[in-house]
Amino acid sequence: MRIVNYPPGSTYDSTHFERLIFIALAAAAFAAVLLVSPVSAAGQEPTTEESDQVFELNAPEILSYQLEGDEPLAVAQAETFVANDARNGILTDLESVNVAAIPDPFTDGNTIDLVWHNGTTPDGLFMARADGADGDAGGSTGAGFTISQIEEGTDSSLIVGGNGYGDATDASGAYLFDGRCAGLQFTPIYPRTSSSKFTMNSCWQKWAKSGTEYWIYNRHTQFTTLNPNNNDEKVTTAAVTKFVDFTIRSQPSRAVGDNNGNLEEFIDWAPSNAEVNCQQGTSFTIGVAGSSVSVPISQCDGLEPIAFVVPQQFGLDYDGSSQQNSMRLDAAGAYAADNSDVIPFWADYNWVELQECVLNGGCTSKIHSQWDGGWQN
Amino acid sequence: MTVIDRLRTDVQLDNEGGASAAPLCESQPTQELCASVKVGDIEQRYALYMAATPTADTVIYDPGGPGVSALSGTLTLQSVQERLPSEYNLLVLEEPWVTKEISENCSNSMSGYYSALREAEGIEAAALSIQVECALGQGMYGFTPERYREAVSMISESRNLQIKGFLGHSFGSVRLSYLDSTVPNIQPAWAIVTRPFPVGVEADELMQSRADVLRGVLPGEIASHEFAVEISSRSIPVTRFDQFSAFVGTGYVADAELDEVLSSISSVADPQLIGTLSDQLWMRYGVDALSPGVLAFWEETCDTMGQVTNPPEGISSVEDILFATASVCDSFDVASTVESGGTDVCVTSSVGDSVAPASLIGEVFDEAIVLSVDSRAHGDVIGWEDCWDEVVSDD
Repeated sequence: MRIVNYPPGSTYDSTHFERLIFIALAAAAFAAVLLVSPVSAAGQEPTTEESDQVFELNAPEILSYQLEGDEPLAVAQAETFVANDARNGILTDLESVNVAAIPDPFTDGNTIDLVWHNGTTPDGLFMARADGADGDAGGSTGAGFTISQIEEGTDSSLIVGGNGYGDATDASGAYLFDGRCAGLQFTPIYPRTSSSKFTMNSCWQKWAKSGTEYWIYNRHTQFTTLNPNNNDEKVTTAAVTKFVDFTIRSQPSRAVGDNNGNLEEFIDWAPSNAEVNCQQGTSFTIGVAGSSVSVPISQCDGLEPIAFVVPQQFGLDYDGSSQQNSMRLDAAGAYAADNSDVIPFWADYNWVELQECVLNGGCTSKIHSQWDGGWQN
Repeated sequence: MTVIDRLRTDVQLDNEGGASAAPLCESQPTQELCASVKVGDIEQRYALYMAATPTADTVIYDPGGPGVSALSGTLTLQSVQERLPSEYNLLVLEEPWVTKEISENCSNSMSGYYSALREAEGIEAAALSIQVECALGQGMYGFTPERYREAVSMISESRNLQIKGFLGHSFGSVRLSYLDSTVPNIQPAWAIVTRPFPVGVEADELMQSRADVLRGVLPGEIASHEFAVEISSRSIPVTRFDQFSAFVGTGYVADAELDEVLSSISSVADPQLIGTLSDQLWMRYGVDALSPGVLAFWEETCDTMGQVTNPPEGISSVEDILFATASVCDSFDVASTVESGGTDVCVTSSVGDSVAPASLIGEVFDEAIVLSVDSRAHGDVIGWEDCWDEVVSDD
């Protein structure tokens, strides 16, 4: 999703900005309708351009749907989340995980689920759905969410101690200060299995160079439409899902005023030119002050790197039409903080647009909405 | 852009096409390069970082464990490869537990065991339950010597690699011992292991030796009363069990922070820190769940050091914690020491290391070059470059 790719130091393209305002107004109108009566709204007549059915929540609205920790859905979601963490060597207490279940305005009786760690907080959520032309059984979905770090991450299990006969640390390199994930799940138009939802896992790692002001911020988001290992009962095999747009962005968090100003320099980003020499199953490396972090490349085609010195933002944008079970984007940025005592916070943006097409049913739907998550303010 | 080290390595040939070629890499993503090979019935995941200049010469990197999720990104494997003083590919095998499904009965038995430890009740029966419910000892979670050998052999063959060297940390010494000379083309010419696990030492001697080293750094007085502190973001209270566990966990704490951490544990000034150190030692997550990584830890360490003679029935000292870490090993036999004949070995040791005691390293690695280092923290790999100069010959 290309939103406000403005060059450093300039203001927004006015045409683009007006369009955003228009869409924001349209979004607000539809969101209002949907919030009042999601079922009837979801059953509206097929759309025309700029009239996707949309649904947007700000931070307080998301938090109003947060489940109590002992509710079954919260426990189930949180347990899956922490079990996944454990496989990655991250030990997360169930009390550190938050779950919100938001009534899905597009599919009656389902929920849009958001899971996140303590120390971070969701800032915004946006969903859009569009039908195809007359007679087209397919449809498109746009989904985005933003999340910010709000604590230094002292409950991370990645620092301090260890176990067993391992835990090699390398003083000459960067060390992992903290790392978390957040997950978004929602029901497809055509579910492949009886229980599966589309899942978007957005993860970050903060790497510190010991004793210096240098940091590497590493991001990846994986969107999974179908897990090949999921043996649930198949509902339909006639639908295919295509990735049309997939974007990740990161920048210093604005949720915590002091820390926003504490990243003095945006030094480098990667990948810087995704198309050149990109080879799936390889890696790129970003380094600062003699330390480096390597990142796997799992997607090459259709990528455009994102980097803006102001507001110190990096990311990666996929545009195309690709049918695959999952897509993953990786990007990283190198920063200098004001001094070696500063622990900077970042914020993350995720956006995906998917087209679900039914065999012999046409494939014309498109999401027209754009969502910037408030990052341009 | 003045301080930047632009270390981009854009082309890292991976003949198998990386993630897309290996279903297990796609369904459970890694933060490192990921490929896989079938070893028997099991898909073995691994990362292979190729040298910038194409070569078949390869170093196996084993970060120790067991219980380490080697492809999770925390080890920055490409950085390890790039820091090798000369051009080698780097091969890293992932422990089987990372992708192994765990049955509910097995999970429950681990939780039951953890609760038994915390409550000092029924530890022996709970440990036995894990052996049964999780089918411990069949090499499903950790490596067996055969599986490790076979995996290295198959990967070497399919990727046209020549195993020249071995770089390991701690339990990496046990993996090195798996690469014996009975299988052609996988025994490295040289090996470096920082803070090696003393292969062949029995559990009783290892735990007592660890306790002796730990006693040397602990404060003289440790509170003997029971306590329970509730803290937010933790499902269970911090208790004396966690305090003793945390003291054992100081074996991994960086030297610069050790005094402050020890003082904080003693006074219970920072219960959050105590909880974190304890949870890391036992690999607790969720509420009372233990990471499947701990199954690998038990399976492989029990196979290596055998059982302890008298597993503790309660926890009232750091010794109890140390011996309790082996309480699941009942009826396991110590593996015989495998001679790594033909491999030039250099190891590091520190008299302050309470995880891999220097006295035992000196006994076990009597034919190796042993470099003494000052740093006490077990995770410190300092000295590996000096070892490199000792044993690696780039011919």
